[in-house]
Amino acid sequence: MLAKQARNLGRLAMVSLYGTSILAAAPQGTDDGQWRVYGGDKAGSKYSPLEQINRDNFADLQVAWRWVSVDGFLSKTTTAGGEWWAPRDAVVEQLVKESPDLYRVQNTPNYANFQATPLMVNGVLYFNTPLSQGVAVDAASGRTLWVYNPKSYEEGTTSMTVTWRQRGVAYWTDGEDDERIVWGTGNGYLICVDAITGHPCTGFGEQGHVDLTQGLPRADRTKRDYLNALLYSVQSPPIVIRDTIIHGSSIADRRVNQEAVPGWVRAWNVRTGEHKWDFHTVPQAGEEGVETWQNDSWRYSGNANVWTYLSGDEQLGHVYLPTGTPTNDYYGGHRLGENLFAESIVSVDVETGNKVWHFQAVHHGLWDYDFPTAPNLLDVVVDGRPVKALAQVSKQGFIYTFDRTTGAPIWPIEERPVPTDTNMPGEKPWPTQPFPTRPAPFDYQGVVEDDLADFTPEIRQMALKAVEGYRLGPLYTPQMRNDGEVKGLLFRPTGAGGANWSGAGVDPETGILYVPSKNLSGVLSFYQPDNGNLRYTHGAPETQRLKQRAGSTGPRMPRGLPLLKPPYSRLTAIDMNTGEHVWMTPLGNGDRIRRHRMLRHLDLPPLGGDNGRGGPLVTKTLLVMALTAGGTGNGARLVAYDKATGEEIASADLPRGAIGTPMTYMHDSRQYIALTIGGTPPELIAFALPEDLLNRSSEEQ
Amino acid sequence: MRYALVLTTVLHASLAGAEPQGSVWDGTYSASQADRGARLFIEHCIACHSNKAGEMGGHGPAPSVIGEDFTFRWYDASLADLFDAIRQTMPEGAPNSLAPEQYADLTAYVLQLNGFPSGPRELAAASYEALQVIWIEPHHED
Repeated sequence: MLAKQARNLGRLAMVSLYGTSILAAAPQGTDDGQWRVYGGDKAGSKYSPLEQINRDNFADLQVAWRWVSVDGFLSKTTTAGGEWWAPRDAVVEQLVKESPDLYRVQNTPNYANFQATPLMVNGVLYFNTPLSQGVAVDAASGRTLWVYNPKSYEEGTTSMTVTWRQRGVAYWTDGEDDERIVWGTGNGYLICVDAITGHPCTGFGEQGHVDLTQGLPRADRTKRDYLNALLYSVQSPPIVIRDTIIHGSSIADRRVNQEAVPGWVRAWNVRTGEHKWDFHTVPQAGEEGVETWQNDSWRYSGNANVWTYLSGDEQLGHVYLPTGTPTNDYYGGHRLGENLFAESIVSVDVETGNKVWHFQAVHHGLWDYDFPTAPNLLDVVVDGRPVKALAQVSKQGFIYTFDRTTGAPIWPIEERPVPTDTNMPGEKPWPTQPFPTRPAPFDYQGVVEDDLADFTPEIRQMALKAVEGYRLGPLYTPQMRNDGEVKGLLFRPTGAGGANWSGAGVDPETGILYVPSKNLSGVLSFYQPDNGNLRYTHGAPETQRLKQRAGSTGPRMPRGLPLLKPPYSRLTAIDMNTGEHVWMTPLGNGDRIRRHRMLRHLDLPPLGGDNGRGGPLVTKTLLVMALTAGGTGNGARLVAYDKATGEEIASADLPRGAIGTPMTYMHDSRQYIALTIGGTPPELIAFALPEDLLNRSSEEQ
Repeated sequence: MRYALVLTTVLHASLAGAEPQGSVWDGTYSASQADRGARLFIEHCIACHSNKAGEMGGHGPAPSVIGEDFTFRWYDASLADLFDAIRQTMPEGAPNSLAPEQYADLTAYVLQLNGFPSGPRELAAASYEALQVIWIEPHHED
């Protein structure tokens, strides 16, 4: 007790010392060596002004500590009220024994997708695990301080497009002695625990839990989808703005039915857990935008959810919602119209839930172009005028840039005609789409014959043969089904391409934005479900359909060769004061392709493609990204780039490939870089400079 | 030319004569290694890729790793190309997040799923150069 009191006093002193700067913080950047929000700050900058780790010593980084995920060892409530702890497989086996239909086939609780980026507050790292357990570890040693296990896996498999993954938690304090950690779970609860002890918050919901499905249309806990998965999950961290918790949701978008849970963005009082407001991303009767859902399709349509994280401006009191595609991703014949507020950025007043402004980036979406990440909030100077800007990177390779106060575009966004011809019965593609005039796209868009790989004439011929019968076209070419004449639409980026959940980092000192992106193309296979009322859908159907539809549907290249020209992934730096690209570098050499027998004699430049999903970390002096190759034994590594030029400066071997986006913090005069990596179970690891190097530097100063 | 013969040794002189060559028909992995790979496949792959011929995984339109889908893409490539592709691109979202030996085990399992025979020795992740000259190819009677 005394120890805890002493610690609380210490914390109070720190809060008091730092309180002013924290509470009145500028929207960008971290303070005091801490990392108090998923993206470093509520602006999503992923920036820290720390500089102990710099270009001269980055290669000296060593693993300071490793933390093995607690998801490998789980608990289960027994019928007598006890708590049984055992290796995951044993617990899952028992759960299945008691409820044979508990989980979706081939989707029992899995710990692999440890995508979280931890927070660091007052010497403690906070994060959650794929099985929705909240964790606190000591920032210096990685020692576990507490674990809160809501046992969300006892209810079933998380919603089908996001099985078993979590990206992080949110921290809140009243500036005195109340500190809380909040996160959403795979089974759709909001959890609040005391940051110091991990015990559920008293007075918040029901013993620290709030059921997020309450009051949400069609979010019935007793029902499962056609693959026996839950209907509503949360996978990304909430954000807390002005004592209000705001969060998105994960709702399956591979469906067989028109009816789906609407992806309303919900807000709750951080002190009590009381519901505060919903923003109807699918509007209801009489609300703005309802007219954009023809034939009253708003009544049953769902999704249009924010499955990723959010950003917000404490000073303005606005939260920014990056919404996704409505039901379903690729066929809109049951939801004709523009479909507001899907695939939009919506600025919402955190006190009232009222919309301040919105911008729809894709009308009547047919390509799964969900906004995949929080918009970056940054203060820039455009044509001599200071602007509180919002820059939203996207799967489709555009950056949409606005004055975040008013929603006025910084540079013109033109509504341009796009192709509308399609063989999808009942589909009516929208005739125009918005095209930002600046910045230029940061990755390839669309596919034409000139985009096919041409490393050698033989490979070029292979690629031409591979795309025979497929429709090619520019961005926003409508989807096509295989009707015997055309095999489908080869489109790019796919829903997994361009920028994704890791988003972009921003250097607030320069206004330069750094965005990683992937060059991915694909073809969809549409089918008419046997047991649903959607005319056409995609993806994973029932077992019988699985058998009928086996095999890839897109162009296939032989010998493991790529279909399209490189780079296969890239990192782009864009000056958001001018909208000009500063530099672009492929993410890695792409040696797995370069050393192919048909290519190795060509002495190709770096081809990219050596990265996972994690994003950039920006510091005072460095830009850091995790790559999958190029380390010892062609292993994974953490790479430091020159922020001004994109040149690689140095790298440090990772024990395994990275999963989440790295973060950095300073604790006891030592800077750390922490990130999640693979393993069985996966791990959270922290890098730091060796003690002797730090001592030497300190003596030299 | 590489289709001409199925030889019984892991490494042998190719008919081209320039460098030692091998074939996936020579028994390039061990059965116990494929068993380990099967367990890894359940943990890391099966949500997207089925391990049954003619089926997709439950998650979406990921290509089959068995049968014609596999052979079309990988015939005439080397085991190194296959090993590298699995290691550097999978699992989706977390490539190279397993140990190299685990990727070798998964490669062994995929070979087993496609009917290539096991042998007395394990497929070794460390001997990349050796994997570069082992070809994925049809049986000479195909």
